[in-house]
Amino acid sequence: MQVVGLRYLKGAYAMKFRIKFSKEGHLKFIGHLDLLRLMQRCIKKAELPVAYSKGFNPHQLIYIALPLSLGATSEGEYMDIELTEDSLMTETEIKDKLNAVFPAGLKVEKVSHVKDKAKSGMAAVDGAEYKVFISKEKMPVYFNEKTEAFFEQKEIWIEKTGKKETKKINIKDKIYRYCVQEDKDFWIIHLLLAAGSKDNLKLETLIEALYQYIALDYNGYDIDIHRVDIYSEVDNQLIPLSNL
Amino acid sequence: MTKLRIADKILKQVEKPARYIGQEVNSVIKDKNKVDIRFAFCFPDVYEVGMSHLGMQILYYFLNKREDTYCERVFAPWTDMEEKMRENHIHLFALESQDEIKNFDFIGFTLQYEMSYTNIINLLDLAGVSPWSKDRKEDDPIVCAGGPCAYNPEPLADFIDFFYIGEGEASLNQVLDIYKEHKKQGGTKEAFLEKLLDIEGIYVPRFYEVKYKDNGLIESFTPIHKKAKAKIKKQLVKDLDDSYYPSKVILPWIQTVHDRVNLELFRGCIRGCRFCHAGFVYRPVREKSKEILIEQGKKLLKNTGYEEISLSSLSTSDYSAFKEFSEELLETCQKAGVNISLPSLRIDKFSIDLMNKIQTVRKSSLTFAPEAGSQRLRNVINKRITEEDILKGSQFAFEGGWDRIKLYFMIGLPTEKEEDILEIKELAYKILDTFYSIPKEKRARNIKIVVSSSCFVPKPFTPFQWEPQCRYEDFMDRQNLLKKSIKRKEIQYNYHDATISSLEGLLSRGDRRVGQVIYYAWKYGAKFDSWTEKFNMAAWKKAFELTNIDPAFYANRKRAYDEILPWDHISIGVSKAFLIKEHQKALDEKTTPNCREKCAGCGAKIFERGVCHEIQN
Repeated sequence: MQVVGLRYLKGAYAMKFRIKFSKEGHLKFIGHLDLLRLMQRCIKKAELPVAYSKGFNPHQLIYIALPLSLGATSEGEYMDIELTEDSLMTETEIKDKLNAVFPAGLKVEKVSHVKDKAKSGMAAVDGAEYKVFISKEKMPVYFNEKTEAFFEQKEIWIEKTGKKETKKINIKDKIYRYCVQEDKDFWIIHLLLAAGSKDNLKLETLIEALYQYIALDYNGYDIDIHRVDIYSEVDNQLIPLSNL
Repeated sequence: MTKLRIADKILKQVEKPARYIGQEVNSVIKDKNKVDIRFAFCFPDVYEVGMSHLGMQILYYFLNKREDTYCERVFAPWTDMEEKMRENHIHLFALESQDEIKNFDFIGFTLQYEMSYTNIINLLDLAGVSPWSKDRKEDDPIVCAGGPCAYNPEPLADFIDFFYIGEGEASLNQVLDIYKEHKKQGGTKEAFLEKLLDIEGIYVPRFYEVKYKDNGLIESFTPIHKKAKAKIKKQLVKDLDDSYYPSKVILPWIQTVHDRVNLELFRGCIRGCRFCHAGFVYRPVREKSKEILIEQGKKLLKNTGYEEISLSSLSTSDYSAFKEFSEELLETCQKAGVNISLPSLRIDKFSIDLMNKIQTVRKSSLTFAPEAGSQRLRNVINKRITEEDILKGSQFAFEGGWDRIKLYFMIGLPTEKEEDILEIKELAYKILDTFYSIPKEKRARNIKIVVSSSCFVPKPFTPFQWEPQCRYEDFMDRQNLLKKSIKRKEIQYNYHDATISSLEGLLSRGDRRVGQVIYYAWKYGAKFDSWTEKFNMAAWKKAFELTNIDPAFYANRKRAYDEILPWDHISIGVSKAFLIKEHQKALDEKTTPNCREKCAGCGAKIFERGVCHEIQN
């Protein structure tokens, strides 16, 4: 009954939704732009009443909060979607419809309303949490110790190569939290890093600096990266985008 | 989730790893223990090229419709992945199950262009089986091939166990039925191939013997098995409305060349352009009905989520109910928020109006394919489009707001002279003048004309199959002549290096002996020959030297009508007598009406359906 009433209250009904999804298994090999294309097909296939941009080449109004590197898995990805004004869909419906068409490895975890005036997912991003799995094989015994020492430095300087010049920057204050955990086969480094448009630290850059510190060769393919969640800062606290 | 054949560590080191993982939306996953036949469908090029190919998508679902068969896809790994596979002793695998294809029942190649031949050798080698048919063992898969290039199967005859001549939907099921029975009973591969001799359209090269004269020409081509047919007849789908068409397609993980729904309007072409291989081998024209098309289009859009649909055929405007069909399609698509793209349109007022309706947004460029610059040469090739048509079409386009026109030509056509080439320039200039003759407020501000020329390659089963191809230097001279003559800055001229076309000239009309060249070219490093950056002419040159084969004998030699051609044992329904007549008419600069205007008596009427009978009724 309530829902029928809402149909006539144009604009009062929330049309923006935030979809939290996971991207696991072989889906790690689908890059950001290809994922976006896949999402467009799935949304259309699921017959969600998605809204389109105006003007030349109309496109679906969907936005992925923070691109994930090719090769990484995640249990905390976010996509905002805008539905057409007269559509009536509940969070559960959206979740079920998408999960029915998603390929294995892609799964909607949670759908939530986004208030009209709320920041977009993209603009809200302030931090991202990761787990980095490093195989213990081939790693020196002092890996743990050295890693702790690396993160405990007062300042961590890296070289950033731009178009024209190479700059030195201190990334220490972009690392919000770290923890090194020992597992049977892996060292697992838990990290919470600055992310988004205000301040950003690329995970790979940090790991490369760590390897350099320990005097190891970094090749990028021996480690596994997993994103845990994406956060927004509210009153000096980092809150998952799905809980805003 | 299926376990991937390639380790993550390797996938993270190669370009576009999504090429190798399978499990896309709409791909077919079966329990491999519950099927009788494992079929590896190989497209001998990279994933994103192969995944654009409509024929493969049709046959993939067609074969998988059988409960006893599991058809899986295989593409050529890009060179970075191949290196890793060889380094780590990983055999070629199929995308769906990720299983090695050397344990499959069939490895089937689709032959879309000659420049993929070295990739076929490479894929067999990567699979861990010998490329040579005679050297493969009893428990190795049966290797087969089909597709447009199979109409001259000879260059690959020593590598392939059997060729399927024609359209797969017609009798591929029969082949699999025979195989299933054969497998159940047990028996040698040879025995199975013998059983295939009962089916029309199957060519088993090992049951034929070729003898050569001292001068290199073919002396005889004879069956050496009592059941082997002297003529192998092309198989085709008689009624496209009744024929299988998938209601979905696989959504490629990465962007492909044609990333959209493809709706096949008809097969064949009424035009009879004399250079066009497809125009002869796919005869006669068979159309799908408008109702079936709309229904198939709707289903495909629903099951794929695509937002673009493209019409596929050799000449879209020739669809007999095109006006009614396009109106209905437009209405359907506008409701569903789907774009239409229309390739192969004849440029006339109707088409331009239609495109205006479709492209309410940005106008992309418009393409004309006059193929030859002068009317004389257009008559030779039977491209019956006049200068007036082209200029009128351009005028409509300019008045409709288009500001970019692409023009396609061929260089090196039979009887071509300097003045024919210069006429290309003249035509481009006239189109430019047409643009400027329109008042400024009625046209775009700027204009760009792109003239592209390709190098003519004479193809089997066309009236030009006896013609010599231009030599490399000749091609380059003619291109240079045109390049120098074009002076107006609004015109851009694109041309290709003729090396690849020259090689294509050898492969497309090659005989069995050419197989050696392909093999050694591969051995010396040739692969991905159609990729300019991978093309390795040095490898081919070494192969010519080693095998003592002169490419000019195949590419640049004029053949006599009574010469035995390597593909003479294949029958496409179009008679040799007709091709000779067409060749004569070409030399006399006379044109032939299209199939709907007047039947030219090509011979395709024997198929009992299609345009030939439409006219009589």
